[in-house]
Amino acid sequence: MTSFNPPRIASGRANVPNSLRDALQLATTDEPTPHEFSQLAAALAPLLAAPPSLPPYPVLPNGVSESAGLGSKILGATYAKGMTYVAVAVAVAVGGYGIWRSARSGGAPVTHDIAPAPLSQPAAPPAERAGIPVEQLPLDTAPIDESVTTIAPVRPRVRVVEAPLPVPSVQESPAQVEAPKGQLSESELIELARRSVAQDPRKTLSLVQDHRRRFTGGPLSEEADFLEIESMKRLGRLEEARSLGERFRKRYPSSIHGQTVQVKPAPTP
Amino acid sequence: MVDQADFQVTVGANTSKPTAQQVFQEHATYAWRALRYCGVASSDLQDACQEVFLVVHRRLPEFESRSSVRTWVYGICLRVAAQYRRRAHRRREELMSEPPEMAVLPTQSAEIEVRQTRALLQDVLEGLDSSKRDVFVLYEIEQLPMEEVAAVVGCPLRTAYSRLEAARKHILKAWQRAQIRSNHL
Repeated sequence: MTSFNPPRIASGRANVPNSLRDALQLATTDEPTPHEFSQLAAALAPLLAAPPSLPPYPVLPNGVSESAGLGSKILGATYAKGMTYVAVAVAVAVGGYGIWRSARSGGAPVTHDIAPAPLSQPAAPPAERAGIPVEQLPLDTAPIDESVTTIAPVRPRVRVVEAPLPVPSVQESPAQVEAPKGQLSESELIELARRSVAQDPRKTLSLVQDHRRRFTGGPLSEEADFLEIESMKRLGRLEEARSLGERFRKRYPSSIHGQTVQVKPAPTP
Repeated sequence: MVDQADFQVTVGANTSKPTAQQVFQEHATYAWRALRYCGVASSDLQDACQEVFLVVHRRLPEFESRSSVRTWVYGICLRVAAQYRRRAHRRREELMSEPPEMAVLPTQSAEIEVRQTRALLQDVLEGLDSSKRDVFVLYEIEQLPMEEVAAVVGCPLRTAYSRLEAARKHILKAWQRAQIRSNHL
């Protein structure tokens, strides 16, 4: 069936009241305000920058549900990092256990012999099937079963030495260090800063400074820099916001905040 | 949580696969709009839009470019909005992002008129069942061609036409009733 597009109401060619046509025209141009867009971009920035291989975001310990939106979704992006810690911790624990066991057994490494399971039971030769043991047959007449086309490979016995597993070398940045009890984690700090930027930009600035002090070079630094510029703009510190904005665009050329951080030059009198 | 099995839109043909950031930059605006006219309250648009791009982010590796990205994102929007409506129906409460305004300056009147018109349109759309509403929103507001509308909602083209026709009749009647009511107030 070929596609035919009937005249749209907003085009004015359909027979409807003008008010409905106007309403639909208005709706076609509806879009988020710059503030709403920047809020959305800020909320999604950590997630969109992360690789899309994360499992569905986990239930958070503070009881934030998925439908709560924002916080849970940002924090979900840090889940992979948490899983890395778990993997490293398990590796260290297993390695330590190996060392401990080798020390207990007089320094000799603990070994296990693992006998390979037979891949398949070879078919009995025809003679054996007929009741004559193969060993009793003369060599030159040893039967060759032509029907056997696959030969089970012989696997050597494997000797596994239980040694400490190599610990992956994780170069820890300050941001990857767990926050001490009672202190906010990096994502919590940024989330708090983001929430307060509309009502209390001074608070956002102070939170951003706190972030810079505690998590320099952390994975959410881009977000912190963006929030700093937003706060400056809201506080009327446009010159500072402009210079920070330029620096931001140079530092993060592919950032989704690229357009948002632009500050228009003040009109010349 | 959004059911991942819901997100299967396969039509047409397209070229390369964009990144999640590119999808966001190019499609966030219309995703926002589609969500609004598919029944998501203004106070929940942020969350619903985030949910859309979370799904985009999660499902992008599986996106096979058999449809356009736009079609794919619209499909996600419709499903997120449908799920939102189901939740909102259960919740039966009206959420407000901000307290209602107490005083109105003359300079705000144009803005208020825009809001009222938008609210009226949303009310009228509310009376449509979701299958007709989706077709109407995609065709009349998002201005997609009918073929793409049918692909997004996952119905035959002929069904999409009949849904549009039925939606238009309903909207026209509901709009006239709403106008009469507002004139009497």
